Amino acid sequence: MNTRDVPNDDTLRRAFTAPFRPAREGADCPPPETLWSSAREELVHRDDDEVLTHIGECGVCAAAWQVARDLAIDSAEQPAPVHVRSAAGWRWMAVAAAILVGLAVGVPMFMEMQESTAPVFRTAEGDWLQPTFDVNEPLARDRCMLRWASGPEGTTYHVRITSETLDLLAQGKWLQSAEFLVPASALEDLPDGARIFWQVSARLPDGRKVDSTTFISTIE
Amino acid sequence: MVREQRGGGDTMSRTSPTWAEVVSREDVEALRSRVVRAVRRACPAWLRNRAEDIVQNVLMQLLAKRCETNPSFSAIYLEKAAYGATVDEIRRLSRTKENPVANEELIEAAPASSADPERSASSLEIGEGIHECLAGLARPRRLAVTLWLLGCGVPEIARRRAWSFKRTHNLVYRGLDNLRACLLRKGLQP
Repeated sequence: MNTRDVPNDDTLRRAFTAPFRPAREGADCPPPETLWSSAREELVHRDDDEVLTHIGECGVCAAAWQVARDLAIDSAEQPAPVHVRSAAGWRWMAVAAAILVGLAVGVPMFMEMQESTAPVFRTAEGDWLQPTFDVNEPLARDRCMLRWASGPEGTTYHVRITSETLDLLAQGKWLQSAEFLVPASALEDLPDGARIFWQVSARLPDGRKVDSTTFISTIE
Repeated sequence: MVREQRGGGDTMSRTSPTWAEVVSREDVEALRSRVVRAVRRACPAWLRNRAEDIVQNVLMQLLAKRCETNPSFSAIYLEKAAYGATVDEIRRLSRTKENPVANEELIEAAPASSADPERSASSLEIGEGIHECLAGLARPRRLAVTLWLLGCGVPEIARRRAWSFKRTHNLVYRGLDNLRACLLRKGLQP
């Protein structure tokens, strides 16, 4: 008996992993890191069973799981990476070390590096966090008001604005209304037509944090 | 100097170093290149038209992280970040399927699609049917068939589940028989 006895039906497989078959109403999709771990056989059987049972109901997570598996296979086929920090990495670390002079450098820095290896998956989706203005319309640098859809009462917002080169221009924290006026001084060095990237994080009253996608606006 | 505003009140200058102050333009470009490579690997072909959005989302996350802790980003860290952002995009796209335009875009892009709209619709129906039929299978068969449908072969399933090859083969083979019979009863013939 060999695997050729099993029907190899691509149609079944493609239909199963089509990402337009969402989970049933109310079912919680596992976070990406759980799908990642399942695809890499890093979960104990009980947890893996839960993930696979959910995938049986949810084509979206089936598609996501398959992406993780493809990545794992791809990684396994590549030569093992040599763990040498890049020159740029060393430069960053050197600057970070300089900033930390005067503090207890050794242990905190080591802990920080350990933390930096943790995944950075987003905690939840924030599709409803959409701009409430036409982002295709240029914004005046002296009246650069960003507005977005409000969450439930009691929601607070963080917003982060960067230049195209990812320089942080401005940020608002613990905002109680769904808007932020970017200080003109933060935009004064940008040329006309420059694009800014901005992203909103909402802290919901129940403690959850949801992130928007990144929006792009043009400054004039 | 970054302007930071809290609670809709005061505007004040940050005293901690900003991204721009800590890293050079070359560093940012180098990071962007690494992120682009990571996203290229993580992003399935049918989602490539969203790759630029995914890159931007990853960069924004990294920026937030760097401003908090000034970490360096290992290759595996970037790969996980790219994967997380890709999953977000898949989920985002699937949730917009009620939007006819987005739905059409997704169906065209997704792996189950074909040039033939009838086949695409049929694939959607089969996907629904598989989901319903899987629920009726006994647990071991359901798990075995689910893994097979996800692209795993019998040896891989056997290893994952710590089952013998023979048992795994039987579970997959009989489970698929059950699945096909169930689909036929629903009038679906893959």
